[in-house]
Amino acid sequence: MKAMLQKELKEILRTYRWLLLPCVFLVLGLGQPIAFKLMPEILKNSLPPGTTLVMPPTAPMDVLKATLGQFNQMGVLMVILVVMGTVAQEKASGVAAAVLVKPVARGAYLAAKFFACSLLAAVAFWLGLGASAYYTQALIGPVDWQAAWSGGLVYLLYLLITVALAILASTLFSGQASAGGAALLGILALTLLPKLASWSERLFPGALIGQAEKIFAGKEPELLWQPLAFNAGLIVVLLTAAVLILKRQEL
Amino acid sequence: MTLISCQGVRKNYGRVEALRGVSFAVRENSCLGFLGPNGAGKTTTIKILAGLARPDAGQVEVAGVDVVQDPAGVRRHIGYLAQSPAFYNWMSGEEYLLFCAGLFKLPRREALQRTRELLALTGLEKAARRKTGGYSGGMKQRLGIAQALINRPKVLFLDEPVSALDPVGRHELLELIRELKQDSTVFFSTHVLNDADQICDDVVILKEGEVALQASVEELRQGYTDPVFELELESAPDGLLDKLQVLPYYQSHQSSGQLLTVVVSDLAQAKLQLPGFLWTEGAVLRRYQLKTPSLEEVFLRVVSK
Repeated sequence: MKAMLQKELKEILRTYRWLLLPCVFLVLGLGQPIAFKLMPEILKNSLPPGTTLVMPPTAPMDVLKATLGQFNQMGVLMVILVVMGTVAQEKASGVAAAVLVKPVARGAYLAAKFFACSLLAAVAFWLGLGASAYYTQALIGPVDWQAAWSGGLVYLLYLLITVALAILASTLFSGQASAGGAALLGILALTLLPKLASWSERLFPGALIGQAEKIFAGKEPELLWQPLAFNAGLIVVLLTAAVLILKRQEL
Repeated sequence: MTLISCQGVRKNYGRVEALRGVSFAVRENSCLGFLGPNGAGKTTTIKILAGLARPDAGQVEVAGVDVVQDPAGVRRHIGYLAQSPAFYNWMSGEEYLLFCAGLFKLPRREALQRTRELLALTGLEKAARRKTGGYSGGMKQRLGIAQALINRPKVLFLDEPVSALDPVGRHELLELIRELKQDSTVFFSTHVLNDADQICDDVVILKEGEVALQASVEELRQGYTDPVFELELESAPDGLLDKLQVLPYYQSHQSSGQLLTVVVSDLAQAKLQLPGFLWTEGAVLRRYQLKTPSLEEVFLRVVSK
C-alpha cells in the first residue's frame, strides 16, 4: 500500500497533473467574482444610451454559489479527465499485470489511486474556492468564511464521489475514452435520476450540492448528516465494486 | 521435486477453446522450454500459472501453492515477464526496481542493494537514471527480467523473452537465462526453437491448446533420430556407391559433391558395419556422423502430425 501510494503521488507530480487540475479550478474560481464585478459595466455598454440600469447589489455568498456551479460543470469534467486513465491505461499498457502479479492486494492498488486522486482534487478545489472567496471579499463584499469553509467541505464530498466513480469506470473499461464517458454518464445519473423521488433527492450526491448552497446562503442545513453518511457509504460501495471487478479480470 | 504442475487445465474464451486439458510438470531448478506455434495457448497458460487468469477447469500448483484457490499466496514466490514488458514510462529504470522492491516490502537498504545488483546483472547501470519511456526494446526486455528477479523467485515465468530481440540482444539474454537457471526454475515460452535448444533441459510442445509432447531435450533428440548417416569424403574410390547399394542394411542414398547421405534400414547393424565397409573400400573420410535432427525439425514433425 505504501509503495503504491508513493508511486501514485509521484506520478501526479511527474506528469504535471498537480499543476493542471489546480490551475483549472483556480481559473474557474477567479472567474466568478471578476464576472460579477464587471457585469454592470458590460450590461451598460450593451444597452441603448440613456437607459438607466438598476441592479440589486450582489450578495458575496451568491458569487461563491455561482463558483460551485462552475465547479459542477467544468470542474467535475476535469476531475474525470484526470482520473479516467488511472486503471484503464495501466491495464492497456500491461503494467497493471506486471504490478498485480507481485504481492499487492487489488484493494490496496485501487485505494492508493483513490487517495492520491482525492488529495489532488481536494487541493485543486480548496485553491479554487479560496481564490474565489478572496477575490469576492476584495471586489464585492465581506465573505462569511465560516459558511464558505463548511459548505466547501460538504461539496468536496461530491467531488470525491466523482473520483470514486471515475476509478470504478476506469476499472470496468480498458479504453480511457470509454471509461471517461461512463464516469460522466454515471455522475449525471447519480445526480439527476434521484431527483425523481423526494427520499432519494435528499440522499444522493445531488443533495450535497443543494446543502452546500444552503450553507452558503446562511441557512441552517436540515438533516445534513443523512446525505453525508449516505455518500460516504456510496464511496465505499463504488470502490468495493471496483475491487471485486478487478479481482475477476484477467490482466 | 516438482515445482510447477498443471493438471487438465482448460480455458475457453467465448466459443474458442484456448486450452483443452493441458497437463505437464516441471522439476525444481530446471529450465523448461514451452514451445508451440503462435496461437497454441502459450501466453494463456503462463497467465494461468502466474495467477493472472483463472482456468475454467483443472488444477495448477506452483511452488507448492494451489494457484486457483490462492492466487495471492503464489505471488511471493514467482517472477513474471510479459511478452511485451511495460513500465511506468515516467519512472527511471532504477526507480521502477525500487518500486517493485517496495511491493515486496523489502527494507530500504536491501531494496537499494538488490536494485544495484540487478542493474549490474542486466547491464543497465548506465541507463539506470534514464526514463524507461526512452528505453530500446532490448533494454526494456532486460529491465523486465530485472523486475521479475527482485524477490529472488523460486519460479521465473518468461513469456517470449527473446523473440523480439536482435541477434546480439538474444544471445545476451540467453546467457543471462542460463545463469538464472542455477537459482530458479525457469519456465519460458518461445517459438524460436534454437533458443530452447541452447538452454533448456526439458521441453513441452503445445499444439492447439493441447500438450503434443513433453520430454527432455536429449530424449527428444534420440527419439527422433533418423537412421541417416552423413559422410563427407575426401576421396572416394570408383564403384563405392555400387558396392554400397548391395549392403544388406542399405535403403537409399544421396550424393552431392563430397557429401554422401546414406539412409539405412537397420540402424544397429549399420552402426556396427558401415565404418568397416568404408575402411575396406579405401574411402578417406573427413567427417562421419549419425544425423541428429535439430529441435526445429523435431518440432515441425510433432506439430504437423
